[in-house]
Amino acid sequence: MELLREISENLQKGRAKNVKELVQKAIDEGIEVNRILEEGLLHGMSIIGEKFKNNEVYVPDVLIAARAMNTGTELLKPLLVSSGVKAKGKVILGTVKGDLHDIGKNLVRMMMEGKGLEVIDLGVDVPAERFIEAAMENNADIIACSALLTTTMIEMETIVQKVKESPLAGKVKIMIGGAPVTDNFRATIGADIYTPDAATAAEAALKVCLA
Amino acid sequence: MPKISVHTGNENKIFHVPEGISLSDALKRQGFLLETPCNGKGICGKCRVLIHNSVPYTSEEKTHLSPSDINKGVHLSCMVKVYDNLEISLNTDQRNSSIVTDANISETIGRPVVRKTFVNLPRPSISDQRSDDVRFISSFNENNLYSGFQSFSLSFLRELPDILREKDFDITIIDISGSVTGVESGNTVSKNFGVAVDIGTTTLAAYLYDLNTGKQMAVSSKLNPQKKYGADVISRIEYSSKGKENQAEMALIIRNALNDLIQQLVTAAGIHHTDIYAVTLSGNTTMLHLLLELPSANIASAPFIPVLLSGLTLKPCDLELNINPKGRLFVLPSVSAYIGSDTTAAVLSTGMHKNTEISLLIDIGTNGEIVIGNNSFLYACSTAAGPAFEGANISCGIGSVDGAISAVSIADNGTLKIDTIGGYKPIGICGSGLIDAVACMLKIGVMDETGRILDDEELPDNAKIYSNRLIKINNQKAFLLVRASNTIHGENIYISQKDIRELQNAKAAIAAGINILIDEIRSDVDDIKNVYLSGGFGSFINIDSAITIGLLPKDLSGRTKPVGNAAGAGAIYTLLSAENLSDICAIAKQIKYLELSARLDFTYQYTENMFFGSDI
Repeated sequence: MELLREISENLQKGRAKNVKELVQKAIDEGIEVNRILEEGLLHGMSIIGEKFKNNEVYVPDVLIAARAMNTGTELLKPLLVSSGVKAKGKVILGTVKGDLHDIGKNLVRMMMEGKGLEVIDLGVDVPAERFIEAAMENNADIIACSALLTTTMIEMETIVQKVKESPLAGKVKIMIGGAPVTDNFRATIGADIYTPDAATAAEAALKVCLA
Repeated sequence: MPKISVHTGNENKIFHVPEGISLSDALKRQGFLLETPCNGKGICGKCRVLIHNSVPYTSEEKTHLSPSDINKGVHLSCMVKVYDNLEISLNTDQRNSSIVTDANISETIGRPVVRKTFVNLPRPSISDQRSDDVRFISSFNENNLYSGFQSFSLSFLRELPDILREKDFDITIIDISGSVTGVESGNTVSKNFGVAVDIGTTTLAAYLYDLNTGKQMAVSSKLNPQKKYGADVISRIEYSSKGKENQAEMALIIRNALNDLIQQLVTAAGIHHTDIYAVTLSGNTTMLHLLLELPSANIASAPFIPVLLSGLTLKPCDLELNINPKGRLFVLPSVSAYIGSDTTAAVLSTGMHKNTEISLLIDIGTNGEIVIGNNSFLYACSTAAGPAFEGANISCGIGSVDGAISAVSIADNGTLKIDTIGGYKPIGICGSGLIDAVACMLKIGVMDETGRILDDEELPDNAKIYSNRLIKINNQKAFLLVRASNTIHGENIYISQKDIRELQNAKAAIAAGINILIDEIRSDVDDIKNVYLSGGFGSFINIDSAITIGLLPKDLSGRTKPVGNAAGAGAIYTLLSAENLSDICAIAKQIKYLELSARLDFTYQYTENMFFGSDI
């Protein structure tokens, strides 16, 4: 549909004001809320995600596209709730204890939200216990941890251990990522999923939630 | 061991290297100067060499090199591991760097840090049997004679009798910052010089002053030779933290460089090393740690804890600086891991800490340091702008060297006017040129406010004349600045879509920092009466362009003033007046540091400041 295609295109260009107007127009024209979300907003965001993965666009493109997406989802949220559309899954996200870097983690959040997942963002410098508490409170599918430093990525091992000792063991998947993190490291500490970039992280998370 | 043969313009050198070493390390060990701002991570693409043997390409190399580079055999030397003999060509054409050493100094009144006093002591006689030490002390402090234990060094006492008698009890007492550090025979009052040093991550600047007259005698500067271990502080910390030997090596490199600068100063002024009695040292916290050979690893990761922030008085031998051994070194006080004494010195030099009006001080570099305040409060933050302004992650980026495009403007007939440093044929773009170029791209309409380079068919009518400048580089959109035929290396100079994104990251970080400080003091842009732009970049930058791209808030136009090397100026002020030495300590104590990485509003401000216009 032309209008939804326009929403997607304006979102990709980061035109927040236009996105907001077009989403409002779509709502007024009585287009199904879920379609506006899927074929308009999420469609645009997944193209940005794909391009980001292929190095065709960069961090600023993602930030400004996500900003545009938010203006649209703000309008849709109350309608989604009343029409009973549920998120496809729940993710607890945070940067590990001792690490204050949040841009990579924010990109992951934007990409995951772009896949229709609900993300509970605990921020930076998050201790293992907070991840576990939040996952239990929200009945989450995934705990996703980010670290940008070789000195802080070891904290991920603590999180894996503590989850094992908690009632969440076997129920929640642990995803890890960040510049120094590798799949080898994932295997060593016994985490479930490693992805090299934010877009792949969102795809992997969606797969877990749909499984 | 494999053998490397290097051909440069004027020499051929052959040497053996350990198997498996990276080619860039091998070349650096032999003293070849290579640009490696990313410190060998294959990210910056600056350490190019031509290899005459066939060597496979890594994926990092393929992203930085054009097919024609690869055809010729150009490699990134940091990505090449040496296992076999190699024959390479190296372009060692060393270009002059423009280093801003202008330090704005207004006349200072006050007592210089070093005071020399000539005294004619009463000669000993059978009726005056005072000891040499008591006779000496009584010349400047009658009250302190028997008040307690003295802290003379033994070497001083061993020299004392000869010094007193050499010129028949005519002596000159050296008083540095309120304590006597030595005595000389005869009248040496006229020989009283001091050096102010600013240790920047990129450049070093030193200023020689006659402390009796307050007159500047000479200025010297050079690139920071630690640069070969990375352009930014984190790479330097990483290298220095690998072991005690590395820590010592980094200290030695910088100390040698400071001695070189001192040598240049004394030669230029026609004085002797021993005529220098004081050195004041400003620098960012990391540079000072490396100079002092202090462990710096904790600066690099949260919670960012330096060893030392206080001001420190040292003896010249502590840092092996070649000045009078009776002199003193003053390491100026810092505020936090990322607000160093370069910033406290810059604040001192602007006088903003004494003014009732609110001022803003911005030092734009790899890290942008920003201070806001007046005589009753001072707040500072440091924001990671990345190396875009220094050209390190920009496709055709280069430092401020001869031939770097430093200004771009639009002439009346719509053509682009390009200026280079020194008027040479263009070689690349430096930070000020980048800001100008992107501002022009916005004005002529080839880029939209989100920073996207438009496709040919999207160009508005008045921008159609530039359509032949829209090119593709490695399948990526780019804007051609100078055609290959007009450049020094015969390759196009352009601005790619990725370059614009890098600039957006950098400028958004600075602009976000400014906005957060303004919010923090619950103030408004209108309340800021003076904006000081310090550092080399602040001197070259076109303020209108900086405002056009949103690096600086647009309401600050007309209140902005470049202040040159404000850190150097501050170091000079502390040399010329001991009062300033205590003022700078008060400034360091007064400044409240805001850690941006812990703030939720930073990401918001950062994203909102990505754009090249409002209302998007």
